[in-house]
Amino acid sequence: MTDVLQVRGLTVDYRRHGTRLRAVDGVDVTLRAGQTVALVGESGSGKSTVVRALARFVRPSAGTILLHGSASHRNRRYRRSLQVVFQDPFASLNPMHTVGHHVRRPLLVHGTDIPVDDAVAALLTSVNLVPAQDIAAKRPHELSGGQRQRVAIARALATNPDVLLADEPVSMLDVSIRLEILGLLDRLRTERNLAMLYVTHDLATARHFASEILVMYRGRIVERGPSDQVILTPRHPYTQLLAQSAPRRSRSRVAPVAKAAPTPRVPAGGDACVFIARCPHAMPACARRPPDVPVADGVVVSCWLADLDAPAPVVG
Amino acid sequence: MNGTDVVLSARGVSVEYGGAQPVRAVRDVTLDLRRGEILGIAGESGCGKSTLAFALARLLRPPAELTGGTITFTEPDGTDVDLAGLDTDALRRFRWNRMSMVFQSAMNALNPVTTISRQIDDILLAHRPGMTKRERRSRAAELLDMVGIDPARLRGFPHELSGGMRQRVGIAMALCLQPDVVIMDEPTTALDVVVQREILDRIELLRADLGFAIIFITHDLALLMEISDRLAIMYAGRIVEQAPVRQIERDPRHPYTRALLRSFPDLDAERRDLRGVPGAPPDLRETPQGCPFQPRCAHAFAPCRTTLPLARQVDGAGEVACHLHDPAYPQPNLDEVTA
Repeated sequence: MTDVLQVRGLTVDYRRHGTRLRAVDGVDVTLRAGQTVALVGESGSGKSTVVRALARFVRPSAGTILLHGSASHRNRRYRRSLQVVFQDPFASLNPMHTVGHHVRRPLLVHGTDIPVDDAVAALLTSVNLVPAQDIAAKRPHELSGGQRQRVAIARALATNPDVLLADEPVSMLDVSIRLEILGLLDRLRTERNLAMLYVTHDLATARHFASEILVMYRGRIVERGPSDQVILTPRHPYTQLLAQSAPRRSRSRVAPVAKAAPTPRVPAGGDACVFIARCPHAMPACARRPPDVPVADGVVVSCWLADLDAPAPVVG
Repeated sequence: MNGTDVVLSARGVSVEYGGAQPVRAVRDVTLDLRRGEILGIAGESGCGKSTLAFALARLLRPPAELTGGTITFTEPDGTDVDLAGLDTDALRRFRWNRMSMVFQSAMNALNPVTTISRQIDDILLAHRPGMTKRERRSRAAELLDMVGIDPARLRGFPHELSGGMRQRVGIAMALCLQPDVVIMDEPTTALDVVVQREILDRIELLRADLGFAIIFITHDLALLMEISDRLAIMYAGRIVEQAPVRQIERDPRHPYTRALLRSFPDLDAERRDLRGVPGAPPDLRETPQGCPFQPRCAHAFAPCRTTLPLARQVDGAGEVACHLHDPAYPQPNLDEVTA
């Protein structure tokens, strides 16, 4: 499989009231053709900022983004090759324009081999919006949330991209249609050999639809690896917390255990591990940035616990 | 009348949103809430689950109107109270005391311009006029402590709290007067999964301690399967299946229940074919002939197109409103069709 998008050391800072907030801190991502990578994390973890930086909506402070090995992004080719599906299909479509208009625009800008109207019809059909001609004449308010998201997907595919960034593509949709949309994205990934980044807070769909999962916490990737490995045998204390917290239908209801004793106070901030304040295993070593430790089965964990050969912490 | 263990009982409850084309959001709903249990209500957006909750709490406001049915609350001493018949004063005494509600967005439920302390004080002033200022203050501190928030936060304002803390304040306020029933409408939907877990654990602990019953409403079926004792599945304003949660887990009867369960991948289950529910729910301004789920149902047969299925008791515990389970009709094999 070929690497389509290679991201190394991606760092994004937001400036606000004169203070700097590091939203993304040294993130590495590799997207390969025909593969889905899930980026999971809670609100505020920086996962959407990663999408915004890759889509060039915000300028990274540091890091390299290589598309097919090329570092140039200020061109039409980059925009054509990398497309985004946003969370909110009510906000991402212009209420004044028809469905056909939304899908036609990128075709006019980036060109198409077949007549534009045929291309619009083919795109709408490929996302199961049929009959395409009727749907193309409609405006967003005449469509359901799921249909709107299909329009957004058709629009993203209009430029025939190699990379699709799906930022929480189903979290605004009704439960009964979420899997339909994820299934559609999955089919399109196979058919078009797309390299896909699936950004979500939902561990269960991340596991079922992605081959690799990156777990993000406060701007850093704390664990990465094959989906089943990361979800079923989480190694990083944060991933463990996430997996334990997710609702499970099969869990028998037991009296909840009392919360663990407050963690020892280890100075946070600076170069410390981002999870230090909530980690039940925090120790003095955690005051320094943990290394990325490759453990078994292709899993990489950013945690001192995983680093068996960690040098004795320097006191003082 | 009611069995002594039933604390809240709805019989044939219907709610309409008036207008040129009235929306019949809740249609002929019958359910019982037993003392101390968690009854989960699940369904898609627009199925009427929140409207039902508001109706049960008598919180409907025009254009929504209770158009039929009775809602009966049974006091601990066995006296039945007809909720629909309460006048304003009686209703004011009833709310918070006997039944309270936790809303999805605690930010909107809390007053942004007064302190947490004042808001709890308000409830106590109105409902416990005999309490002294000192007693009220100590009760407020006790309540925050109960939901795991430092009582020093009493002097703070809602915006100074995180989303999870606000939701816990909402729960503390709901429990302030030790009601028998708490209705929770999507109380954790806006929260991250770790915070959601803290809230759910807290609810479970408090229920075990205080013994109140909960109607828990959410679209998240995985969550409901975990915390509920019994489950009611709503579709197009009606309850289509109602049963103990372990029974629904083992043997869901209604095709919609099955489809909804299939829509949630389980975190650690085997990978399997994942499908949603194709199609969309019906327009609630209309009254379709036959079963409202029939256009989306893979098992629909002749009677489904003509006759509305009514809830009927099925073997074991539980009720289901589906012709597939009506002995009057020849029964297709559900598993065969699914496979």
